[in-house]
Order: sequence, then structure tokens, then C-alpha cells
Amino acid sequence: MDASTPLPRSAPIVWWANKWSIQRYAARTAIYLVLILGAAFFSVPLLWMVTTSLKAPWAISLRPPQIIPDPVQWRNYSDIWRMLPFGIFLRNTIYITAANLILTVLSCTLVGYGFARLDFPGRGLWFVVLLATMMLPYQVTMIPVFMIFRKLNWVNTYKPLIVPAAFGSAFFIFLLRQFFMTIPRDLDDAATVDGCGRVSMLWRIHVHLIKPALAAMVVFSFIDNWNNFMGPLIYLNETKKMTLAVGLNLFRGQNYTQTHYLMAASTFTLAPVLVVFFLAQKYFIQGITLTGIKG
Amino acid sequence: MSTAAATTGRPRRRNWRSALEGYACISPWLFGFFTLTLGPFLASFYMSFTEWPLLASPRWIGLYNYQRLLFIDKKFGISMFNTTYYTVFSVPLGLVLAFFLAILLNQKVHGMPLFRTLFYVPSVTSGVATAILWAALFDARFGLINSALAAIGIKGPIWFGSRIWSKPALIFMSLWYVGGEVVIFLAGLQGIAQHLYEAAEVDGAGSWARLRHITVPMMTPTIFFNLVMGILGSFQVFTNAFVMTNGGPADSTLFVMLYLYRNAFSYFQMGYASAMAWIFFLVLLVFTGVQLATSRRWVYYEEPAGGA
Amino acid sequence: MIGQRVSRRLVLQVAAFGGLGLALAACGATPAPTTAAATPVAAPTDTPAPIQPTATATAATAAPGVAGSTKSKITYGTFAEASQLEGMTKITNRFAEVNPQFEVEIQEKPWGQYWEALEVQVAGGAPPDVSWITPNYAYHFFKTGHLVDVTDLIQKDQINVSDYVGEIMEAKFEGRYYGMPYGNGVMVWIYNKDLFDEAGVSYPTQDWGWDEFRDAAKKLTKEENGQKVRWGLDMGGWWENYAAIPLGNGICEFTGGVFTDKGGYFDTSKPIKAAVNDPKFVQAMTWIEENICREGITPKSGEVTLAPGIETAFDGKVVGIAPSGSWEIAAHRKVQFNWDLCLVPKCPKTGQRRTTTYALPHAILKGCKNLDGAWAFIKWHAQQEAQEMLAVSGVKDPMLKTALDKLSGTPEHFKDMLMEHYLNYNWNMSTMVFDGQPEAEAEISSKLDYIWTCERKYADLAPELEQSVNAILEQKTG
Repeated sequence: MDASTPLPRSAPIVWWANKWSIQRYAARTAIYLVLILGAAFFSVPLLWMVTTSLKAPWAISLRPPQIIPDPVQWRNYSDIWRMLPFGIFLRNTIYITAANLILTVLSCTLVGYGFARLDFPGRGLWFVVLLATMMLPYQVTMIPVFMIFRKLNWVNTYKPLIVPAAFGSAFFIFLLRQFFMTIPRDLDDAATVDGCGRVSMLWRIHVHLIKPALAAMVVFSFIDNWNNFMGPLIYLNETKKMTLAVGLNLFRGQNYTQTHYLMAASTFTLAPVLVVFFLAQKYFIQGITLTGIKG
Repeated sequence: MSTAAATTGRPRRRNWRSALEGYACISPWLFGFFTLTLGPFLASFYMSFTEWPLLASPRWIGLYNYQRLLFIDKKFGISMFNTTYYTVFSVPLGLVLAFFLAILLNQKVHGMPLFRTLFYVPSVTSGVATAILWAALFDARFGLINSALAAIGIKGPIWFGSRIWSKPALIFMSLWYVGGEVVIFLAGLQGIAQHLYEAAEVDGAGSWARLRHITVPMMTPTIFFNLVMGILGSFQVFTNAFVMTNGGPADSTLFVMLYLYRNAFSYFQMGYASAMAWIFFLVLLVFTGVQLATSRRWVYYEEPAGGA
Repeated sequence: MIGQRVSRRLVLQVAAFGGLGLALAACGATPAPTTAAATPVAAPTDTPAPIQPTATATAATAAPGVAGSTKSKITYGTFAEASQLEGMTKITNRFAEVNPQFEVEIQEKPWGQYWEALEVQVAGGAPPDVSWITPNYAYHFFKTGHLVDVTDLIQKDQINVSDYVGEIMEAKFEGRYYGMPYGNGVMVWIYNKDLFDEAGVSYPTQDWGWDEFRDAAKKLTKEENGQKVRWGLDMGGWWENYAAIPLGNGICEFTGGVFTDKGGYFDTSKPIKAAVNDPKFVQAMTWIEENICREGITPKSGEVTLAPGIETAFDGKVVGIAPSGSWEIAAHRKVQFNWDLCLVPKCPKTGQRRTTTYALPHAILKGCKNLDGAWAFIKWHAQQEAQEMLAVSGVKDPMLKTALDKLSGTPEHFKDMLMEHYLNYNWNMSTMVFDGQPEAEAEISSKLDYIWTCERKYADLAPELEQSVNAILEQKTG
């Protein structure tokens, strides 16, 4: 039933249907309004980053602040490529991110499932330990961990940045565990009756049911690794191994910061993240129509 | 306990296999825990009882660090207060906003992927890059925020020059970063069976009733996740204070993580910083434990003997 | 049995991605060989024509050179900012040219996290051979024995300490030297000529004192629609360094302090005590406080909300006179208004002027496996050719007095003024010389916030501040 079909106004039921269409139209407009206002509010940081990246350096401190750059300095973007090897940084970042992504998805799914579905003695205790590992500030464990990696001779390689992903991340394990627990147990029983082992059940059935959470994990993991700063800072010494997140901070100096270049580099670094997020959405968000029916 | 045991009537062998499977599943994490996590944790615990100038050997001093933190050091108390203040306001505000946004962004409306991306962008822009944005927005004379307040007749404060308004400014800034929570809520919304909504509609339930009786209860697992992680994250607030205020003015934005960082790397007191970290850890552990324990009462999983 | 099949499969799965992880990591350890980092291309800045190597290029202290065979490596840690990298790399490449038996690997990390990373590496046992050292961190490295003592090497190679601005004081601890000079910076005062013209105020002259500064600032301060849009005098982002020290020195009767025998917060006669309640210091701080709160010629804390270390009020045309670093001159040159350097007012009694310098020496870190190489490296960088290249590049100002003449890219009189600052002014060096200084300074900084927001008066705050700072100092040294 849509608003363009002419309807006889003779019956009360028909009148109700018509009113309901107008209501729907009004609701739709209201939603758009809120969306646009909200998007304006939330996109201010991005707009600011982009406009600053096009400003001349002396225009940055002006008060009142310059909203539209004048002059527009496009060459900021080409300058940064000339000053630092961003192509190399990009390649390194892609490599580390991809490796982490694969390992994280595999390990966190498995471990999260274990915590959610499988009953083993000490499960509750280990879960608390899992959460507890997120509570100690990393600054105080940074040096012992560095010493471990140095003993292994892994300093100045990518290994300390990739191998830990094979052991799962507490954040994602917790997340997936929550989602696995929303799947009805009856499903498990039915599958068992059909002769399916608990673990093959995981890969054949359960993962498909929590696709939205998996997609969210992929997006988050991508972003975390793409922007990861501390790890590369400490473990990678040579410039040719550096990542984007560390590289762009080289525009911040001891005594002054080349803000326009910093913003240009930040925008450049941010762009793939936004593209990934934008494209990944169709894999995990289907959206519902106003009537609550999935499209 | 194990429904499998209840249905098959052969508990012992099932439990043994179930236990093996369970441990096998979590073995990657367990291995990582024992090799990379446990050792450093214990090391830092030991360090908290020492004086460790970072670049020289540690020296055992027993409980002195803890005594100093709890009874002598005023700045630690101030930092705990600041951090708690920040958490108490930013977490509930963030959760409510994120929930509302998730529902809004779950509508099937043209261009929604673009809108969702725009709402998410702030949470992936680094604190350093946006420092100048916040400075411009909160500028006492020309910033957007004070201009907006002036339009409705209020004279805005000097946000980052005031002991009273610096934390509210940071709390307000934190609302921009709810994108991550929104994504998780969105994922959670996908999992709500549609037939529930349809049935409710047939029964004549309006939007508000559907929200209260279907959406919220079905979302409790994700709400719980965002609540726990929200508190953990909020307690660890660091970047904006580090970049913009450096703890000022007059230590009003001195958060625990910032104070810890200073003690570790500027004052070269890693032992003291470790003690601070462990007190912080205990506080969080207690908080989270309480949340876990009370979660059984309100979190709904689709399991008969559900809960953590 | 199903159970057994599953268990084996499970084990295989777990093993599989464990192996996958290690395989990926192994690949990652050896990335495809790339051409070396930043091939210096002339960036569109104002760097001048290529340098002519001077005839007095020093002979390299080469170990009996086995040129062409495996080079010995020197790892070089630096927090050079991206635009400084090019200039720095040129100098380092020249070193490698002149000393072909050595190969330099530059390890650059961003300034904001340089110390965190370096400390982790040192504590973890994997430091670079040579590093840039700022004096306030150098002390702790020295105290814990991580800097190599080069006093004997200096004597052996007959290096004349007085050739250098500051006589290598920035790397001198307890009578011995732990580094070689490299770069320098000095605090200067700048003013906005256009704003002076607009207000009809004549430019600062050699004879100006602080009172003249204040009068000029009053005329420069401007309001529009009840809102202040411009202030006359800025004290800079680093209140303590900029405000109290040169000002206290400008009044010039206050001596004693942490910076050897120059002014400051502390009294250096043992044991270290706070001098924040010394009448002369109170006088200096009160003068600043009056500027902010009574006269309104200096903005209150946060009144011009700026991202620290990133934006400056001077470039934003919000203040007329401001302190600045000599390293910022390059950035200021890009602004769209006319400005100039002015001299710090002189001391009435002695006629001298005082400012602060920020030295940046090279130090060799303990654990260095290539002592010969590292020493050759830091020695060469302090010699004429390298120092001239440094001066020309604008990375930092040179330490070698005879290279000061090559400060380039500045209008001629800037160069002269800078040389005068280095050679004829008295200055503090921002140096840390005792334990507990960072905590004490943090305490002072946070209490001073009450003054910068005009919540309290310094004269009232001073006794409390003295007490709390002394408490910290006792705790550290006691």
C-alpha cells in the first residue's frame, strides 16, 4: 500500500489506511531531519580535518577560525608524499592489517565459541581472567613484554605485531561470546541429533548466525590495526618498516607541528578506513523498514 | 549445568569430552595468556613493591608505594576523582546516545550507509588530529559552542581555562566517539527475530511498546557488553587530556592514566606507576565483577541456565 | 567415532592457524628490499643553493680503512620532524661519504613518544647506538649509567670545549662530559609590526625595559563589541620557561636556581630548595600576574583556546608581542604580516640581557656495540663542516661558534641578532640537574594555573607553593 494509489474515502477502514500512509510519510521526513542534523554534528571532525589539510600553515591559528581555507593549498597532499615515503608505509600497514585480520577472525571465533557454548570446568574463572587482562594499563607491562620479544630476537621485525593475533583478543572474544550466547540451545540439540560434532557445528551453523557480529569484528580489527601506533613505534626501528600511523606523527615536532601536513596525512590514512566501513555495511546491517519488516 | 548431560544421561564421558573440547577451543587464548600475558602481569605486580627508576635495577621497598598512593599522594586521589567523575557522566550518556543512534541508523532509508559512515567517522579519527578541532570549537570567544550558547543568552565559560568546566568539556567531546558502540548495537539489532515484531504489531503494540518489550530485552547482551567495555574504556581516558590539557588547569583533568604515564616515563618511577596500575586494576575488577554478578538479573540470553 | 573425528579436526585447526601465524610472521620479518628512505628532493621551501664543502674539512678518524668490505653499522635515534629529516639525512649521508667504513641507520620516531619508546628500548636492552638527547632527560640517563663518558676521548682528540656555545655544559654532569654538541635553539622575542603600526606605537628599541613593553602592550590591546580581540603581550605556551625565567632574569637581581647559577624556581645551594617565595621571584611573577588580571594585556589561560604545541597566538594575529624559539622562525616566516625580532630588555644594573637556550647534544648510549663508529659520528657532527651544514639546513642552530655565521635563510639582521643572543647574552640552559625536578615542576605548573586564571594572587600562593614543592624535594632527596 503506498501513498500514490488513490483510495475511495467512503469506508472507515480505507480512511484509516490513508492516515497511516501520511503518518508513515511524516515519520520518514522526521527521520531524515534527525539524520541530517546528526550527521552534520558528527561529521564536523572530518570536515575540520579536511579543511585544515588544505590550509596554508599560517592560516591555522587564526581566530576567529577560518572555516573555508583561503587559499586552498592542494599541494599539501603532494608535499607529504615527497617528504616521507607514504607508499612504503601504506604497503607495510596493509600487510600487518591483513595478517592480523585473518588470525584474529579465526582465533577469536573459536575461543569465543568455547566460552559461550562449551561447558568445561573453570570456564567462569577463565572468563573473568579474560576480562581482567583488559584492566591492567599497558604501560606497566610494556617493558616485560618487550624483553620477551627481545629474547626471541623479534625486535625490529613484524612478528611482535602479528603473532599475538593468533592468540585472540579479549575484546573480540568477549564480543563474540555475547553473540554466540543469543543462539537458542535447541539448535545445538537438533544438530547433535543429526550427527554434527560440537566444533564443526560452530563453523557450519553458528558462524552464519552471528554474521553481523563477525562483520563488526572484521571492521574493528581492520581499524585497530590500521591505526595501531604503540606496537609499531616500539618494535619497528627502520623507516622502511614503518606504518602509516607512526609515519604521520612525524609531522609533529619537538617545538612545532606542521599541522596542515599532519591533517593531510591523517586524511589520507583515514580514507581507506572509511571506505572499508562503508562497503562492509551491507554485510552486516540490513536495516528494517518503518513497519519493522526486514527489507 | 550442562544440558547435554541432562539429555543423554551419560554424564561422565560427556563431561570429559566436553571439557576437552572446551579447553581445545580456548587453547589459543590460553597459550597466549601463559606466554605473553601472565609473565608481564606478574612482573609488574612484583615491580609495584619496588622502586624502579626504569633505567636502573629495581629495589625492594615493600608496601611503601601503596602507602604513598593511598595515604600521602594527593594527586592520586585527585586523579581517581577526576576519572570517576568522567566515567559516571560519559558512560550513561554515551550508551543512551549510541542506543538511540543505532535504532535511528537501522531504518531502511535511502543513503543510510553514507549516514552511518558519517556518524562513525569521529571514532576513528585520532585524538591528535582533532585537537585543533576541539580547540576551535571550544574557543572561549569564537568557538561554535560558546556562540551557540550566546545565541540563547548564556555567556559560555572559558572551557579549558576553568577548573570547573574542563571535565564537562571533555565529557561532551566523548559523545562524538560513540560510533563503536553504535556499530555493536547495530549488530545486535540485526539479531532480533522479526517475527517477534510482527506478532507484537498484530497484537496492536505501538512503537514505544515494541521498543520496551522486544528491542531492549533482546538487546541486553549487547547492552551489557557496551556497558562493561564503556566503563573500562572510560576509566582509561588519556588521549584528549594528554594532547589538549596536559592535566590542567590545576589538575582538573589529571586522569589516572595520565598520572600513571607521567610517573612511569617522565618521573622515572615505574615501581610507583605499577602500584598505581594495580590499584586501578583492582578497582576495575571489582566494578566488573559486580556488573557480571548482577547481569544475571537483567541480561537475557537464549539459554535455559543462562548467564555468565 | 564422531567425537574422535572432531577432536582431531579441532587439533588440526588449532595447529593450522598457529602455523599460519608463524608463517605470516616469518614472511613479515623480511620485507622485500626497498630503495632507501626519503631520497632528498628539494622541497619547495626556502633552502638555499648546495653547500660548498669547506677546505677545513677534518680528516676522518678512520680505523685502518678496509673500504668496500662489510661496513660497521651505527644506529642513530632521532625525533626529527618530517621537514627536518631531509636536512638531517644530508648531513648523515655526508658523514658516511667521508667515513666509508661506517654505515648509518637512522631510527626516527615522533617527538611526542620518543622518550617512551627510547626508555622501553633501553630498559629492554635494545637501544640505538647514538641518540639525540634533550638535557632534561639526559640527567636521568646519566644517573643510571646509560650514557657513555666521552671526557677522555675529548681530551685525546684535543677538542676545545670553548669553541662551543655553552662549552658543552648541556652534556656535562659532575665534571665529566657525556655527549658532544650538535644543535641549539634560543628563546627570542618577536613582535607584529602591522599591529604596532595600526596602534600607532613605535617599534621596540635597544633601550626598552619591561615597563616600555607593558605600555606598548596596553596600546595594542583591543576590544570589539565588548569582546577582547587582541592582546598586547603573550607569555607563550610554556609559562614557566618563558615567563618566570627570562622575566626574573630581566629584572636581573634574582639569581640562584636549578639552572646552575641562573634564575629560576630553585635555590641550588645544597640541599635543593624551592625559591618560589624569594621576594624577587614574587616580584617577577606578580608583574606577570598584573599583566593578565589587572591590565588585561595578556590573555588568561584558555581565553584564546589553542591546541598546545600546534597553534600559536602570534601567528593567529591575536597578540602583538610574544616569546618564540629561534627554531620557530622558519614557521613564522610564512605568515602574512610583517614582524621582527626585538631584544629582551636589559638588566638595569649590569646592562646584560638574559634568555634561555635549548641545547640538543648527541650522546652515545651504553650497550653500543660500535664505540669507535659512534664516537667518530658524534665528533664529526660537532665539527666545522657538519655544523655549517646544520646552520644552513635550518634543522637546528649550530653549537660551534665559528659556524654561527652560516645561519641562513634569515634576513641579515636576524642572523646578527641570533649570533648576539648566543655569544653575548647570558642565558639559562634548560637542564635538569637533580632528582625530583619533573615532579616539582609539575606541582608548580599546576598551582600556577590558579594565577593564570586570575583565581588567586601569586603573593598569597607563594608560601603554600614553597611548602608543597619543598615537601616533594625532601621526599626525593631525603
